[in-house]
Formats: sequence, C-alpha cells, structure tokens
Amino acid sequence: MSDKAADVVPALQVERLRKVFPIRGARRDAPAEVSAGPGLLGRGLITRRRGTRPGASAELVAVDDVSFAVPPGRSLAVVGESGSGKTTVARMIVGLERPTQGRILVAGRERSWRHVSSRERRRRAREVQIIFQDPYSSLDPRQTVRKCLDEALRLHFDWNGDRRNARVEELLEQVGLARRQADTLPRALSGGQRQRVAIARALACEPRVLVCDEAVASLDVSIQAQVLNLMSDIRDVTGVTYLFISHDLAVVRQVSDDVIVMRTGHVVESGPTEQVLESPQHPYTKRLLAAIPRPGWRPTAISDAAESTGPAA
Amino acid sequence: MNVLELDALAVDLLVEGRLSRVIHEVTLNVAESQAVGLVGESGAGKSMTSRAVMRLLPAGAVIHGDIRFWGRSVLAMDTGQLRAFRLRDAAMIFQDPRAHINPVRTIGDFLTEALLERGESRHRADAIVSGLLSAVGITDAARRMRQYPHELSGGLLQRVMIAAALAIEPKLLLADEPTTALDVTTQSDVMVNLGTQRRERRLAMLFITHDLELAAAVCDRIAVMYAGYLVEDSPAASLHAEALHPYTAGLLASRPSPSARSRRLAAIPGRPLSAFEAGDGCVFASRCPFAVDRCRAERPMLREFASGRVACHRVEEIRGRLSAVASGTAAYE
Amino acid sequence: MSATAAPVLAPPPAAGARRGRRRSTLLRDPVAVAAGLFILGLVAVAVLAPWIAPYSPSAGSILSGNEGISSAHWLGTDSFGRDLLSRLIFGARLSLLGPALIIAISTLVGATLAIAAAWIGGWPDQVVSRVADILFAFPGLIFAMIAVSMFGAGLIAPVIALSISYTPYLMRVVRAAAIQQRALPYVSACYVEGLPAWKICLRHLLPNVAPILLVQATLSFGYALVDLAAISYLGLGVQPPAAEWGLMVSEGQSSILAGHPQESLAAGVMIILTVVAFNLLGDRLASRQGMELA
Repeated sequence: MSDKAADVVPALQVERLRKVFPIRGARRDAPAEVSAGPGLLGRGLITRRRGTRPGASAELVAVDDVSFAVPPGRSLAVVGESGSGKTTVARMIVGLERPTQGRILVAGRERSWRHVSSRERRRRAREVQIIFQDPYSSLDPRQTVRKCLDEALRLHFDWNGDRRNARVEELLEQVGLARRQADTLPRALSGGQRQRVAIARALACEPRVLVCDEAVASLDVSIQAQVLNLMSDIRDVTGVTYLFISHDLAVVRQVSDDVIVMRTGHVVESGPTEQVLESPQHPYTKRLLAAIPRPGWRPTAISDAAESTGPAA
Repeated sequence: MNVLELDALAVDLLVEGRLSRVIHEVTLNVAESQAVGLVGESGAGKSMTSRAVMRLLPAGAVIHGDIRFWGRSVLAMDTGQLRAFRLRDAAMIFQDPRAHINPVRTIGDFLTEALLERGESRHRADAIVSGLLSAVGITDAARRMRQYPHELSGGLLQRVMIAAALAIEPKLLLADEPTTALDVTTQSDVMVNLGTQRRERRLAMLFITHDLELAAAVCDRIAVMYAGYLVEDSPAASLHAEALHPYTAGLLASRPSPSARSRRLAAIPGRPLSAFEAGDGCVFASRCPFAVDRCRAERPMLREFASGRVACHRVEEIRGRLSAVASGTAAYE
Repeated sequence: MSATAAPVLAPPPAAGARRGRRRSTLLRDPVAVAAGLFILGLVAVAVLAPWIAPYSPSAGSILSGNEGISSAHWLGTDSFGRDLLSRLIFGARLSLLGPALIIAISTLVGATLAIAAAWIGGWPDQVVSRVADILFAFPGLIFAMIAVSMFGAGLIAPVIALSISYTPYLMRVVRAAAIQQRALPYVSACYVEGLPAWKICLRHLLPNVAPILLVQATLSFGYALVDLAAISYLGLGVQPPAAEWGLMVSEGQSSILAGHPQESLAAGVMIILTVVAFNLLGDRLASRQGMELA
C-alpha cells in the first residue's frame, strides 16, 4: 500500500487469506453473512467435491486469496456488499474464525491457528480489538458500563480499584460520555451512546489495531457523523491503526487512507482511497460508486440483470 | 384534489398505560403522480405516519385530525370501506421483505392473494402477476411463482413486494424504507424500477426513508420530520441549494461524500429526540446552533416560505448561512 | 415422562431486541402476586408446622376415625383418627421438599451441562444432546419405580431418579437460550477481549439465561410435585405413618367408598392448588420475559 512498506513493520498484514465453509445439504448450515444456493454454483463459488452427488457436501469459498498490509497509524477500509467476504476477513483477523489457508501477522508476529490457549488469546487482545455493527446487541444487557469496562481492565492490567475507576472515567471522557453514565445499564443508552461504550471497551485493552465492522452503519446520520469524528480523534490521540469494514463508500472516503474492494471473496481493486474513488479501474468499483446517493445523483440500473443476484437466502 | 391529505394529523400511542403523543399535527399533501419523501432519523415518527394512513397502528392508539384519500376521510371508514381501501386503493411496501411475507406459501400464492380476494379468476390473476414480475425485472416468472421466499435473495424479494403492491393497481403507494435492507447496487436497480412503474401508472407515493440524499434523488418534494413534528416541506430540486430548516441543513452537512473528504464532519450535537421528549418551544432548539431565546420559549408553526414550508422562527435571517452549511462550505455552528 | 410432561419453552427474542416495552414489575401482576404469596405461605406453614398444627400428625385413635368437620377437627379425621389439618400441615414438609430437591439437582446439573454444551459445541454438544434425547424417552415414573425396586422405597430413590429424568427438560431450554446468547456480538466481544471461556459462561451467559431457567424451574416444580405424589400414592415413596399428600390420597381411598372422602379430597386439593400456583407463577414470569409456552 505505502511506499515505505518495506521499511516499517506493518501493524497488520494478511497474506493469501482463504476461508472455505463446508455446507451440508440445505442452506440452514450456511454461515450468517455468506449464503449458498444453486445459483452460485455456476459462478464457481461453490465447488462440489469430486465424486459426490449434487446436494452432498459442497463448499462455499467465502474469502479467496486476500492479501494486504496496513502500516502503523494508517487506516485501511475493506469495502464490499453482502456476500463479499469482508466480514469474514474481519472475523478471521480478530480470531472469531479460523482461516483455511493464509497467514495473519500483527506487528510482524504471525498468529497461528493451532489450539490457542486462554493466555495467548488474552495476549492477542492487546493487539487487535473489534467494534461490531449492532450497538443493541454488542453490550451485555445485564452489565453496567462501569462493570463492562472494568472487566476489560482487570483482565489486562494489574491495577487496584481506584486506578481502574480513574481509567474508566478517562475512557468515558475520551469517547464523549458523561461520568454519570458509568453506572447505567445499556438499555438506558441510545444507539450512539452504546456504540461509544463499545469503542471505550475496545480502547480499554489498548490495542494496536482497531477493527470496525460496519461500526456506524446502524446509527442515525447525525450520530454517524459524531462517531466518525470521534474515531478520527482517537487516532490522533492514540495512533491506533484502523481496519474499517464498510459497504458505504462515502464513509470510507471520510475515514480511510487506503481501500480494498472485495466481491464474492476476491479483492477486485486496491489502492489509496482517494485514487481508487477518483479514478476507479475495476467495473465493479465503478458500479459501487455510481450507486451512492449524493447531491445531483439519480438512480440508474447498474447491476447485472435480476437473475444473477442468485437465489441466495 | 390530492390523492392523500394529512390534515393536522396527530397520533397518541399507549406507552406503559399512558397516552403519549408521537406525531404532532402533521399537515401534508401528496398529489397524483407525485412522490413525497418523508425523511427523518429514529423517533421522528415517519414510519408511524405511514401506518396511520393505512390505519395499521397498535391497539389503543388514538388518532386526531384527518387523513383523506381523494377527499374521503380514511379515519371515518367502516370495516368494509377500510378493507376496500386496503385492497384497491392503497398499498404498502415494508422495509424487511422477509418479515412481511409468509414463508410457508409460494411467491405465486402471495402475489395472487389480493387479486383472488377481489374476485379475479385464478387464470387472470396469474396472468396479471406474471406481467408484473416482468415489469419489476424478474424474468422466468413461472418458475419464480412456484418458489418459496427463502429461495430468493433480499433484492429479489423486495421486487416481489413491489409487484405485490402494484398488483392491486393502487392509486397510492406507501413505501416504508423499501431499500434500507438492500445492497446499494440493488437499491439503485429497485429505485429505477419503482420510479418507472410509478410514472407509468401515475401513482402517488409517500416514500419514507432516513436517507435524505436518496429521497432528494427520487422524490418531487421532501418533508422532513423531527421528534414527531414536520419541520420542513420543500421541493427536492432546491433542497441542496436552499435547505430551509437548520435540521435539514445539518443532515445534509453531516453526510460524508464519496467525492471528497472533510477535515471534520459537521455533526449536529446531541442525539435525535423522540416525540415524547419534546418540551416547550421548538423541538430542535436544544441541538440547533442558531437557537435564540424565542426558539426555546415559543414553538414555531409551519408556515409558507419561498417554495416550501418551514417551522422556524429565524428562517429569514439564517437563509444564507444555511445554504453554506448544507453545501459544506460553512461549519454547523 | 409418563402422564405428565414438563412444558418446554420457546427461547425469548434475542437480548437487546429493539422493543419499546419496558419490564413492568412482577409485583403489579395480581395473579403472580397471589400465586407467589400462596407459595410463600405454604413454605412458611411447612417450616412452622410444629407450632401451627393443632395436633401431632401421628396422634389419634381409631375410635375417632373418619369423623367429619367439627370444631375439634377443622377438616375432620382420617381413618386412623388423626387430625387431617395437622397431617396436611406436616405433609407440606415432605411434599415440598421432594420437588425442591428434584428441581435443585436437575437445574444445577442441567444448566451446567447446557451452558458447557452450548459453548463447546461440536461432538460434546452432540453427545450431551443425544443422551438427553434418550432420557426424554424414558418415562420418569417408570424410572422412579425401577430406582425404588433397586434401592428401596422412601424419598431418596425417587428423588434421584426424577432428578435425572427432569434434567433434560432444564437442559434443553437452557441450551437453546445459551446458543442464542452465544451468537450475539457481546459474547464475541468478550472472547476477543481475551476473557477465559469459563468466565464468559459464568459471568455473561448464565445471567442472561437465568430468566428462562427460572421460568422452566418454576413450571417443572409443579410437575415434580405431581410425579412424587404419584410415587407416594403407589406406595413407593415415603412410607406410612409419615404425612405426605400423595400418601394421604392413597390412604384415604378406601374411605371414599364408605362415604368419607375428606382425607383424599383434602390432600388432592392441596396438590392441585400448589401445582396451579407454581404454574401460574411460572407462566407470569414467562410472559414478563416475552416468551411463549411452546
């Protein structure tokens, strides 16, 4: 991505990342964000294992041969629509899915996928954290904000109660929440406020890399703007590296330095954000750009004919 | 005469045993062949407004004011008339197609249901529906009609919903966030299709969305709601150049652009209020950078201004500044 | 389970579902309050039996057998001349203790297995689920009878057998709820945060499935009570001269034909009232959570 990639150890690097999901019979076994259907068979996405009859074990290639590197302090956006595999990439990076093939390196250190011990998982938590899309289900509804943040602090730092409390208040201030909200339950908070708590929780671990999986997509427009500004501020203060997963090119333009565009598991285009969005090379990127509502825009029939979206669930 | 007239519409909902006003005196008209975008964030009351038109409000809700369809009051309709209204005159498209379609019946059953209910023969109903599926861009109608909802993608299913809405040949279409759950490329396709159908059939449409840019692109007029109040009603064409209400300008300014990065997004401070949190004075006063004492004490009425209507005391003074804010050349303060 | 089968609940909608409804306190629900008070009253009566009961449960002479309601004996006497009211009061102890033990054991074991299975997944989950399926197929009463035949009559053998028999019901409901919770992002967040698996299960999964667990336990109590009463009725549970409602129904049987139904009737009514109270409470707890009885 950057010219100086050779000199600086990237904060995050993935090489030839691949994820294949086995599918048994009906679509009910298909994972959440990627789905299988006979329509995708023709496009080579689902491969039948040799010698098996149709309908028997098939595979869904969710991510295929994805590589990128993010220098420390920069931000990379992974853009795609549903089924592109972008969320799967994020989940593999934070350890929620195991790659079928490929390597993931954080600060130059490779993450292995053999049995990861509890201790190793705790260590990795200081490297990469994630913020999820839905603020309404990403906080434990029975835990107050303070307990939530405190739990993260107790896990990673050997501090006494007072120091932890002070840090909790510091974090709340950093994400723009009032101190008195520390002792409220999530249900008393709005979507935007809950998302700020999620950000505070992620920051509590003091990670190098922050993965934002459609972190603003569920927020109202005016709140989205606030949270995007907040994320810039956080980067300015902590120097954290961002990995933004998003379907929204406007948001991507606002927050990221570099971008990769994914479609059905593959990277179709990559480069500095400004360059890719000003002069997109790949037809899919052009289509994505052409589809965004903005001043002066009118909808045009741009995607393939209805049939090709496939009978995917 | 207008297809749809909302006349000082107010809705009270039963919340924890008490009536709470969620929509405050909304007056809005939709003419034939016209698309009006009803735009707002969470708690604005836009979805509830469209449900009120179809009289699909939760039990215990109280409606004040009037809703008129071609001059006839919808609120005064008895059960039979209401049924006829829903079966022939008005159709609704919902946000999540999967939640509004019976998963154990075929697409064909779903589409022909209303037609058969109206007395069409099975043969004729099938023919109409096949035509419609082609109209919304679904080829191979015969096969699709035999399929079940889970076999179709979200985009296809939403087109099916649109086909279902058009099947009864309504005069009024209520589209409640019809493309929010779809990919942006699919959204573009679906909106093109909807636009074509609408123009061909001279349909009036109330288009509910949180996406102001989308509404501005596909509608003739934009009505902006905040905390249950209608705060602005302007032509879509002049919205970017001439946003009348500070909230509208704020919404336009807070949206990032794919063509340029702002150093910092102009964010409206605070969070969107719900209707029952509104106090005295202007609902938006607590977040408005242009608010003065009068705004906090006295609620502004919706009044005619330039080519639209706006509920703001200071619209004459801040006009110029608002245009700059909306276009991103000035900060929101 | 044989004649009686504990109901199985459908898990509630996912946590954080954007519902405007706020939880109204259970205390505002008259039915729940009535049921709750009845149960509390029953427990109090059982605990305070020696001080409340007018007579000793074993005192009586055959000469005053099968008497009707009188000022001396408010509910009459049984065939041995023992005061029915006192026997009912003392009977509450054993009649409530048995089901309480059953529910406690099956809840502890069931919830632990369920959460562990939900978390670990894979073949351990399959094994546990299949074992539960097998246990489901076994009628609880038959199981209890086999246990009695092997280990003798009394409270212990049937309680243990029924505990085993009820565990799958608790387990199935908790497992479904735990699986649903586990799929939510907040659990993933804890995982990525580095929290050890057992802490996630204990501190996050358990509290969030506790409501549904409570409902299932409350509902199962009633069924456990009936099952144990049936065991006692068959003479396989507690033995005479102990006071226990199921046993009393059985002992009073012969007197019914002689025109003295009071013993069986009184004991039977107590069983019914108690079961109804638990069912109502469980149902109210369930609707408060937004769940439905499947």
